[in-house]
Amino acid sequence: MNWNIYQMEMRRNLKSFTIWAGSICGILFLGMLFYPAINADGLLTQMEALFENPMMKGMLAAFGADVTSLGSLMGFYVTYNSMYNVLLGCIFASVLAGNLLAKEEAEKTAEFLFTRPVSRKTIFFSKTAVLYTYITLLSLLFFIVSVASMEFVKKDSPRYPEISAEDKQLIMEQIQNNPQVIYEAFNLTDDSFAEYSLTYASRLLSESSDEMKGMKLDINSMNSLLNEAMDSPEKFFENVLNNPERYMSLFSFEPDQQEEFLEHVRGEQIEYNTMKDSFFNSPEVFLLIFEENTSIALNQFTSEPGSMDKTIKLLKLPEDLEKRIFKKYSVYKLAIICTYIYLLILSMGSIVLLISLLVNRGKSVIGPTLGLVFFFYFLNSLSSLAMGFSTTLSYMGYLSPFTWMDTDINAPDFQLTWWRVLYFILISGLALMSAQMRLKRKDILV
Amino acid sequence: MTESNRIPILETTNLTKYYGKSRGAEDVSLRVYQGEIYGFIGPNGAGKSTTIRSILGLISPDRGNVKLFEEDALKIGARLRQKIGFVPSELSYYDGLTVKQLLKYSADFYENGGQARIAPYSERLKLDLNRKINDLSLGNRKKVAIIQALLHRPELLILDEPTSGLDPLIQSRFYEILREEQKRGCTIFFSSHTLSEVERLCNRVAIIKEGCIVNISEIDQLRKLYLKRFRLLFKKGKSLSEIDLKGISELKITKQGAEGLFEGDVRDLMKQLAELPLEDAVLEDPSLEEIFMHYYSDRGESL
Repeated sequence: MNWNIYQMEMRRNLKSFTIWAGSICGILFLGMLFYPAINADGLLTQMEALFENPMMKGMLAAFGADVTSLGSLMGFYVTYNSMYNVLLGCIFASVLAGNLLAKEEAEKTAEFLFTRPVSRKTIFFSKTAVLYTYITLLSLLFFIVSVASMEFVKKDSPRYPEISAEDKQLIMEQIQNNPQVIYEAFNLTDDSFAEYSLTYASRLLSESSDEMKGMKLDINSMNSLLNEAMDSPEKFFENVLNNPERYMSLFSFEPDQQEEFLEHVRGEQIEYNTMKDSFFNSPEVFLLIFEENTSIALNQFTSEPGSMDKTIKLLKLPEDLEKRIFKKYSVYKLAIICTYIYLLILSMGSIVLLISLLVNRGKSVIGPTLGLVFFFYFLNSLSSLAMGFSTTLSYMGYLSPFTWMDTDINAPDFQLTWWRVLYFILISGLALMSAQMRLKRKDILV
Repeated sequence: MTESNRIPILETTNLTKYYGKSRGAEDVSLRVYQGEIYGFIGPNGAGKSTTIRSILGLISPDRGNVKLFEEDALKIGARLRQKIGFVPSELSYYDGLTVKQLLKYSADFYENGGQARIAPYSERLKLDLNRKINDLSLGNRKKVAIIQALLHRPELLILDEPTSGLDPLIQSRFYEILREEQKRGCTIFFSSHTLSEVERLCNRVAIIKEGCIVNISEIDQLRKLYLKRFRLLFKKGKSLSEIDLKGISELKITKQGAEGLFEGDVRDLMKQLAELPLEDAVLEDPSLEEIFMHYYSDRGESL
């Protein structure tokens, strides 16, 4: 590492960095400003239901990333905004990496640099340090602007509960201690029960898609049935009982089996009503539901304004619980995704550094390296697309560093995975080592 | 001084480099001793640059060895380059830097940096320090190249055609600086395709042709090769269309007179000239350039 080279290269590339970082962060910020408009009237949240279809999910994933929670600030961030900026970040890194060493040869300044009293290894690592410094700065800025833009538009975001194990236990204990107040504490109506049970059913549907195939049931039409039932399950049962013909084929019943079908439907209707009765009369069922998925339950049972306050008072919960649980976005998760972005750009920069040394003198470096970045980016998109219909095909995505990022930001256990981190470090290390070996043996001809 | 107690500063043995199938240099063996100015002569494309690049570690030779200050330059070149100054033939410097910034950048690479010497040298060579490098003319860029090579007081200067593009005044200042450097104890390896400047400065020369060294000799030795330039003036009305003398070459005849080169015992020439109807005759030492061209074209290898 030579301080002189490092300083000079930092200064020489500062302007380019400023422009790129400014553009990327600007686009990121402006992109987030679109969130309130796009999510007007909870539009994105409504669209989520549409995207439950796995094929649709894959299609959308090809253009962005995770669509499970489009309406949330974080979902919007990952799906609509950050991925394009990650691509821009990679392009910046490859332009910089391409310039650092290859440009010396193209512009014939290599003769000056390589006749100084420094070894090639020193030159190489000083230049790499410049590349890594700028990528680090860019990633830090990216993180800061991400947080700032979220803070800026957060009032339009639905809140999302994130319950720690301790908080969950605390709430469960208080509910068990005060079973008589839960119906008053939580905002429980016929509607909230219907909503909860149908959400539960739709999750069951998506989790058991293989079984459904075995039963010759079409998942898409099942989902549309659930949507139909969403407004009022009681009315839905009435509809089915009055016009059975329309629904029978969906459940693979032959026209002459109408009686049998109606029998089934009546059975389900009774079961639904029994469940509803016991839900409102015995705390055990409520607790089961609460235990099963505390986040969703809490979100739905306290969706009315001010109801969380009431809950906290009645159940004698700590006063800052609402703030603790409900967040518009999570800085911790943003930090994780920005770390992935950082690692990705580092490895892309390192790969490009290697390629810039393999390209023949005088040939354009920017062409092949940009080509490679786009190749990786679209390979990742293709593999996301393939996820909808073929798992095997989607594995090809792992050829691309983009795929090794974890963008499933709304997963409860979203975190830095050691093998992903290791992958990026290995790729960068290998690329740097080979690039250094290559430079050591290269004839500098100007 | 005898060969045995002089210190070889720069030494190459059987240096060979091919670029694919085309030859860069073949079996180039040189030895430059401390304190001398060593000329390295050859036309463009003869292999001068390949040799210099190998010495500086820009390329790695296919075969052969390079020793600098009696150490293996192929292994520890980076450290040895602390004591070397290099003036390249073609110049390209970083865009957007001023002359001063570049010279400082260069000086900071060396233990004996010499930032303080930037101003005096640039004054001497009439170089404006505040101009951007990419606005400079070829001659001014050359001055930058010369100064950056001198700043750290190198013990060995390698000059690759350093004077092309310099005006005569600056050229003479440059030669003056080189002589000072020599006095200071600096060894100078001076590559050129024009012999006249080598003739003026160098103690010894090596001539390279088609990648191979054809001759290494002392300048004085070259001069003693009994080559004379003659210029004749005919008597009025007695112009000759043909002169038949033994040992002459490059003969040019006009109405008034003739000129050419003569090789051999000068008394033979005098005898023959006495027979001719001449108004006047001038005999002089030819320039090294002429000597070089003479041998280079006819008998390269035997020189």
